[in-house]
Amino acid sequence: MSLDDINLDFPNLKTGDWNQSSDADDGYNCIAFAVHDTRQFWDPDMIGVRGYYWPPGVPIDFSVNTLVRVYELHGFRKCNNGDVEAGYEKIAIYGIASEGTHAARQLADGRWTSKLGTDEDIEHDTPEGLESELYGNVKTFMRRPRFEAPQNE
Amino acid sequence: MPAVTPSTEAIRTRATRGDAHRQEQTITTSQAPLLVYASHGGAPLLMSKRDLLAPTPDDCEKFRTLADTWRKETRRVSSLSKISMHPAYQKIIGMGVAAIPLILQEMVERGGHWLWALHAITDKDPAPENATFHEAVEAWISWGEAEGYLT
Repeated sequence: MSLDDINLDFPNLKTGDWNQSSDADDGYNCIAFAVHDTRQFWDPDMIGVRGYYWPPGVPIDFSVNTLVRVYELHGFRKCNNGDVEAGYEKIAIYGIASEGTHAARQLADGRWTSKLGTDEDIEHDTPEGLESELYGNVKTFMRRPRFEAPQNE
Repeated sequence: MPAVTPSTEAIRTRATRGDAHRQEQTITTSQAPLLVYASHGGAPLLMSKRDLLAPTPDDCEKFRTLADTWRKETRRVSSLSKISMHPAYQKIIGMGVAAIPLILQEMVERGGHWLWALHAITDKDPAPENATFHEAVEAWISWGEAEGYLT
């Protein structure tokens, strides 16, 4: 696959606003990548099919509210915006109405990183760059104290 | 209709030839599992599952079109319910057994989230509990080889 057509899905991304940061890998998705997991594909709808993961103890759905609960399990709490705050790592949860669609993670330098479905990872200047018909809008930001990312990322 | 043998290395079949006499045939093989394709009064015909269930050219063309459509339209979607409920994916599941070798070959060559389709068609899940996605893919490919769907 190629990212040549990325603007068809994300017209807000302008040339120079983003760069590819990994090869395509269908072994994980954006929900996992937001918490540095590049080994598992997190999805609630595949329970019963081996090869997928969903955290125990949270509802079996892909709603924005459920994604918030998923990330609360990983130490995130809701916050007001996606501005850089020293000592904090932030994520953005995207959705269409109440349904979750995507999650992005803020890097230490203030840029953002996203796993695009089963495609490549990219880094993008703003979370708004991925707002689109496909992902909807940023519904909420969350933050937790920043820690060093695992070496395998 | 054919007697379907289990996936074991030793396959024992009993073939009945007409009313006059009975002949017992024992076959041991270390190759892919075989199906005994019943004949009408003649000697039973042994075929590999791969040969017997091989998709037709029409199946191959249909699969290719549907798989390409599905990939193009879901590649940046994160929710597997959306990915797997896509009409093209559902039509591939609807192809039934004929789709199994095509899906497995597609997984080998291009990857993709085919685990649900395979599970839906076969009602099996050869992956170990708590497998990661890539581990589950490997388990399905091994299953496909053992069952004669992949060579």
